Amino acid sequence: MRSLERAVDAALRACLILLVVTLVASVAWQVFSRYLLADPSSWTEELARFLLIWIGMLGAGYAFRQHAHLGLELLPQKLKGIPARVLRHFIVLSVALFAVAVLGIGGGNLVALTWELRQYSAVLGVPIAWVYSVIPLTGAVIVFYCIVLTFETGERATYEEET
Amino acid sequence: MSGLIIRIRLIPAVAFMLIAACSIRDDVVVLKLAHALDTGHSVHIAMAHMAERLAEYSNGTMRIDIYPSAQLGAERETVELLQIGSLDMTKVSTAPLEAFVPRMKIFSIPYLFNDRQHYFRVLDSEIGKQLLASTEATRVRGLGYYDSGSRSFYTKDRPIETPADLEGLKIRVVQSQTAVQMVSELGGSPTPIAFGEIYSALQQGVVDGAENNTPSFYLSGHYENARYLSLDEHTAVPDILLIATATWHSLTERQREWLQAAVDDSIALQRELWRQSTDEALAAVRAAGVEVVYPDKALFQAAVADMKAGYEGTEIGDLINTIEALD
Repeated sequence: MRSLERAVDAALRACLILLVVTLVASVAWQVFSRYLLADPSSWTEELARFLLIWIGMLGAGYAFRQHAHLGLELLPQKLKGIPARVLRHFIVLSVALFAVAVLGIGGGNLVALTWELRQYSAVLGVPIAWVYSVIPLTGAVIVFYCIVLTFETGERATYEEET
Repeated sequence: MSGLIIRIRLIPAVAFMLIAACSIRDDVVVLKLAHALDTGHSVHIAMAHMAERLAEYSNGTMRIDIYPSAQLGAERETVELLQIGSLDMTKVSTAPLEAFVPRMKIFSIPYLFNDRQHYFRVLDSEIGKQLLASTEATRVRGLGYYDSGSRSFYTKDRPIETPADLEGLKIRVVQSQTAVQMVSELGGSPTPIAFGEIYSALQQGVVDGAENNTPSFYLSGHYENARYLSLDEHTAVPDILLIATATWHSLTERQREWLQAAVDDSIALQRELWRQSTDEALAAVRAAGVEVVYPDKALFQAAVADMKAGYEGTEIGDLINTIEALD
């Protein structure tokens, strides 16, 4: 489990780094072509927009594992012992339900619909389903981390130690 | 204890009243219509008229609720809402519809129509109706075309009298391959940026000009930064009123007739309103000191002849031939 988790962490991190680098390159190319070549590239804006969606979604999955999301921690800090553990499991379960229902099922339906009805992007001409596929993918990542966190809370004492 | 029993007995009565209330509401067919335009726009006024007419035709058994100003999303998103089944009707320009129905590229072809009469003749002909019906495979159905005028160039520093004047100018275009191709064929540098950013882009010199219809040029305030309007009228991109196929099939034969009649009334009104708003916009920009030039369109037509010829043998090419034969 540990090694699988490390592999997913590394893959996700590499993916995000690659996406950000491509995003920066694409915007830099737009500036270069607009001001130095005087022939603005037409595809950079769309590519940058799609990359930002991917970075935002996958980044949200990664940030969940790192406990980097914004949270009101009044209750978790007050509770100790069993109530604290119950609360932790409840939070993880709620996140998992959201990831399955909204991201997994809802996002999956959206991907299926746009794929089936053949919607293409205006400039790059890529299927919109590819862009949307990040939604169920993020759902899967978050569910995976929910499982990791569920087992981890047994092993390790609290979140606070890590954060 | 007896109090509890009374309360329990009340439950069926209350439930019955709730169900009755619901069924009264169910007698009215409500169609949700969303669009991305301002409520002062001719299309919105015509839609409000359509809602009134539909209520009259159906004796109040059908109603249209309008959600304007992109409150339910931009045009591409509202089409998706129609496909998913969350929304009944919307209005989109044929340009974003290209992503769903490639055939709609036909309206982005420059100088497809010889004049306004030819344009309306094509829209109201069999070919126009076939194009509306061709969207059915994507779970939406076209009900009719609203007029969106002709698009022309407007520029900051010099008027566009011939395609050569576009040389080296950065022209903002909509996010579409056809629009990009057209501007480069004419000699300009196409720069796709979002509509909301044009005003500051013109101001800061990110682009030297843009292209749109005259009412939009006026209402967007772009005339404050672009002092030359060159009416070369390169494209005529109509707006399409769409209904979700699922909604259309849920209506009875009679209800469809009522709706189509209301749509037709609305379109007639909108085309008249559009003509008025174009005249008003032209007068207003002139009064604001914008120089309006009428370039020789034949020069521009010649410059994009290759682009048109490039479609020869494709589905779009066949459509071009059919449309040209209608003149």
